[in-house]
Amino acid sequence: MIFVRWLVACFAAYLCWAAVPAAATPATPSTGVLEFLSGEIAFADKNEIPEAGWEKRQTPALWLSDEARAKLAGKLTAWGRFRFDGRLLPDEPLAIYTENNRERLTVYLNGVELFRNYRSATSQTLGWNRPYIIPVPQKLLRDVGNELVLRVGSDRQFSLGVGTVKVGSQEVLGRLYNYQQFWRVTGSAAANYAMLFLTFAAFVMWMARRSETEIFWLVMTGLLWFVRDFHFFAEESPLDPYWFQQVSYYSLYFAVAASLSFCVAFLKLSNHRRIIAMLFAIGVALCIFRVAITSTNRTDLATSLATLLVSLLVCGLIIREWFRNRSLESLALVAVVLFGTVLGLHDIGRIPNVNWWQGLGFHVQPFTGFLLFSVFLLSVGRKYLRALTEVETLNASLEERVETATHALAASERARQKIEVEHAVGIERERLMREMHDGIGSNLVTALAVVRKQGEAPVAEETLQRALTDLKLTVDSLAPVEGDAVALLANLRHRMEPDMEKAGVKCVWRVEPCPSLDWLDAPNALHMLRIIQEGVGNVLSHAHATSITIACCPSKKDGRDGVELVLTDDGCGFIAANVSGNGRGLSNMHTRASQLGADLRIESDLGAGSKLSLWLPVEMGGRKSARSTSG
Amino acid sequence: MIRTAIIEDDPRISADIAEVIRQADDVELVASAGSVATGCKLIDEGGFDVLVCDLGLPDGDGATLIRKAAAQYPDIDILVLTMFADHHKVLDAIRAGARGYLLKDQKLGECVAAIREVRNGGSPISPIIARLLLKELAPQEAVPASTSEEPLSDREKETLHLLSRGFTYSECAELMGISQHTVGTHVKHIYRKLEVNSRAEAVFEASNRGMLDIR
Repeated sequence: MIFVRWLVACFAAYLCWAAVPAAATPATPSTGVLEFLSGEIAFADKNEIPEAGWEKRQTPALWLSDEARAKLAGKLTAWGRFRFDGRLLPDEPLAIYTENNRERLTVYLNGVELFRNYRSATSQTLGWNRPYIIPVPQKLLRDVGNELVLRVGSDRQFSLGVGTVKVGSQEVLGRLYNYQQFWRVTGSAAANYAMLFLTFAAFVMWMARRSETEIFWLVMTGLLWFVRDFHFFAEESPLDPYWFQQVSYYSLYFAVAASLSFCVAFLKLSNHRRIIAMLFAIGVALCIFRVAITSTNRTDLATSLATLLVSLLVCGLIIREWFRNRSLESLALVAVVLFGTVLGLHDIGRIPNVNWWQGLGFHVQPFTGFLLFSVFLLSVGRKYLRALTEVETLNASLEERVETATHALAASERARQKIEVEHAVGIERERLMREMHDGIGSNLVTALAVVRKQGEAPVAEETLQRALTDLKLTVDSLAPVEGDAVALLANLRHRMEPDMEKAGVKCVWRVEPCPSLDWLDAPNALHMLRIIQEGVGNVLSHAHATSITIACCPSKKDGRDGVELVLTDDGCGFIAANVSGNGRGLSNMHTRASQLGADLRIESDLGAGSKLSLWLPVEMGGRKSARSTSG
Repeated sequence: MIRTAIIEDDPRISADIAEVIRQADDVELVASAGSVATGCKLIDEGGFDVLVCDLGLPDGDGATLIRKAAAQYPDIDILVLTMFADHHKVLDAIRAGARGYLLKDQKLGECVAAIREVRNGGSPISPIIARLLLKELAPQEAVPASTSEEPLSDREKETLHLLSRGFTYSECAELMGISQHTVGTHVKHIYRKLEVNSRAEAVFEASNRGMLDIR
């Protein structure tokens, strides 16, 4: 559980950071600074320091509005008086430092007004979150009996309080002032204006892509947090102070809701629309609740804690999502929401009338919004970068696919054209050959009829008959049998059946289903047919056989698939060396076989018949079809 | 008595066939013609059981005559005269309505046997033609029913398969446990189915063209 350990570490770090007394100033002169932990408070709505009505109080006294409303009719005014011994202070330039005064502040030293933070009694100055440093004129300071008076004033419906007051070394207090001025005002204003600027950029982005709901919620997060945070660093109320106060208070719930909505929309949680609607419903409910509570003049702690609870609930949802897909984004969002919750808790504890702790000495909320917004922006940016990468890879793969498709298309187009051309050429060749054969054939038939009628030239008759048979083989070789050697062989048998019958040779037919030979185009088929026809012819003419067996079966040779055609006869056999007249026939057969890339074997022995086997490969093994070599 | 008519432009072949028929007891020659024009007349007059017809006539295609004769007389048998029984011409002739073929170079004595055979309900076939018929009438992949009006029966498929692998009629008969005559009958039926289907296909094509009006 790296995640839990990481959270614990963060929390520990936060605690250490919170514990560092960066601005703590003990009330000892050793540091050169006096801090007033008590003083006198008086309520009087006038412009001079009151003579009477002073009461001893602990300071800072930040919650005087209830008392003031009870004692005064119009605007609220309270006075704080602090007496100190000038000799306790170091001999160097001195200054008065004060913070957390609500709202209009006037500072008097020994009856002389040194400083005021407002232009006029009607100006809506916001002093509650501002530190002030006022140099002390050396001439005004006495050795004993110095009297430092603060007058705070605010309108009737707002809070009233005398804040922390310190006097002492301008060097030390200046450092403190710089620290507080930065974290309370300058830094938070800078962060929020930067956030506002980025929000505007995000808004432009969203206008271009309305469908990206997470960008919409990012914009809302930025806007609402800016509205919420404005009162932390504003010097004066920008609108009617009452409405400004209400807007500042109630915008918190919606800023939180928008932030959590961003998380939900960004991670595209299941039924995220419903969750977002619920978040805003809760926001509205908390507003109503707050109105109810504050109308009874009670402090509203419950709604503030409720917002933290809602944040934790959404955190739970995000964690569940993280368990599902383990994405870095969900982890980052969990971390930032949890951290924001912790910061929220820190600020609640610093509310004057809650006052659990002083924490860092300033409210961190102005930075909470900024922090949430920044992390959200980073998440969106990361998503955008990843989308870019995806688009790039997609483009690359698309280009690749288009290229392959183009190549494939071009190849198939070339193949198609080639096939078309071949087909046309093939059809035309077939037609020509058939016409030619018909012409030659009819002449041969006529000649044969004449020779037969005369019955005087058996050799001529035989020659003519052979020529006709040859023509038939050629016609058969043109048949579209798709490399079916068995069909070709069968047709040869069909053609020669009458001759075998005439010679009194019985044909034993043994064929098995064979693989088709893709290379067996017309010229190759003709070679094959001629070899077998020659073989059968030899048996019929010379072997004096009673039967011939024609077999065809699949067979392997040297690990290659093939088809084997075998002719065996029970004739008288022959010795190859002694073959005379037919020698040319045999050598022709071998020539044709080598043209085919086939393996031809003729075995015979005197008195033991003969066997012709022709093995044809299924794969041509890189040989081109004989079409290119035949005319 | 089988009444035979012949349409053939080569007078020598015509004469040879006439000679052979004259010698047979059960076959007689009733008419002969030598061109498409005279052949048309011959068909219109009728009065024959078997028509022997050449495809390459000087004034046109014998297939038109075959189609005409088959349409006019459903009960006659038509044989084509061909030089080599090459698959193209034979299949075209069968689509037109022929039921067999005669080879011109055969000892024409065999032509009488072929006439008797076809009259008795049998048809000749070569293995290559059997193979092409199998491909056309019993394709492996499913085809829409419209192209196959009359599908082959299993027996017919089996017959064609054996014939395409080179077995003779008698061997087929033995392998299938039927008579040789039945094998011939199967083939004749198959030829008829090819004719019917190709005619249906032609009609289908024509109606398609009419409906869709493609260019």
